[in-house]
Amino acid sequence: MTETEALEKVLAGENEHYAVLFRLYSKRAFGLAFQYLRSKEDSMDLVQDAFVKAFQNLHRFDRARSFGPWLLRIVRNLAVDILRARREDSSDDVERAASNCGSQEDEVLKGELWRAFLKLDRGEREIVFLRDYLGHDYAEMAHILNIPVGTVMSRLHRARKELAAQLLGGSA
Amino acid sequence: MNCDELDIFLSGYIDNELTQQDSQRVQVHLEDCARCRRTIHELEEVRRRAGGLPIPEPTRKEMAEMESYVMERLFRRFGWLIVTAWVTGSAAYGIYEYASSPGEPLLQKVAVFSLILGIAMLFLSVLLERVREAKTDRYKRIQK
Repeated sequence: MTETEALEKVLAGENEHYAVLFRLYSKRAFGLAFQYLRSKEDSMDLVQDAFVKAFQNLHRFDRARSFGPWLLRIVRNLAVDILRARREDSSDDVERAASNCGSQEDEVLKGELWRAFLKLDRGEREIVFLRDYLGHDYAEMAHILNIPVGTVMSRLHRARKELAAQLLGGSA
Repeated sequence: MNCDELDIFLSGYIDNELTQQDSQRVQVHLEDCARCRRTIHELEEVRRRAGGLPIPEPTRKEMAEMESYVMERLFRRFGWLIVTAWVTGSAAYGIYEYASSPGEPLLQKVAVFSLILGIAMLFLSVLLERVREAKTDRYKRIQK
């Protein structure tokens, strides 16, 4: 069953087909959530909440668009709300990641790439992740982040140059 | 167009997100500029590495549990809607019947409605607090 068919059926009241959408997008949603929260458990919770919230707001969904970017926008907004509530979205990310130990995600976060990634600010991290990890085009990213396409391009470029300086010692 | 003016277009260029005109301008500049070609190479390398950012994945069992939880919540929501509608309707009918009954003294009605209002406000404040906690509680998956 395709995404469009599943959506049509869910909108017609056949809720059981929402599982199709969950299977299509849950991994991507989890990846994005982890990028913000950097905790497997928290990210799993957030993905569940995002899917429930998406379902509750399905009547507002623009059918001309794909469900994925719309869902990721919800994931992003929920994650930002959580970060704000916890007041964890600050410049001590690197220290936090380095000081944690033991769990699978803590080991992952200690890698060279993550350490460089965490030195970017939140806006730069999310834009690199959406483009280079999830493969969204600039128009979809603009929709997910609710910013103009021009800002997507300039912010992404700035973030990549910063990563190049850290990872490659480059002049980019 | 010099290197500084062109710089902002380089990520858009490697992502094929420029207009045809801008893309051609970048291409022409790159043919004569080793510095910008090096920048392009570095940006492509960063893009490649960022695409391989390690992300821990939930296990199959965890994914199945997440899916079950979401689907249960969808059906539970309809149950709550029905129960809420029934309780609200019944309460509204009861209040209307009591308020419009001519036999009860006014002071008694005011006292009863004040009590109901107080209980409703307490219930609502606790409910809102629980909802807020549920949204931000990082330990809610841990079973007690």
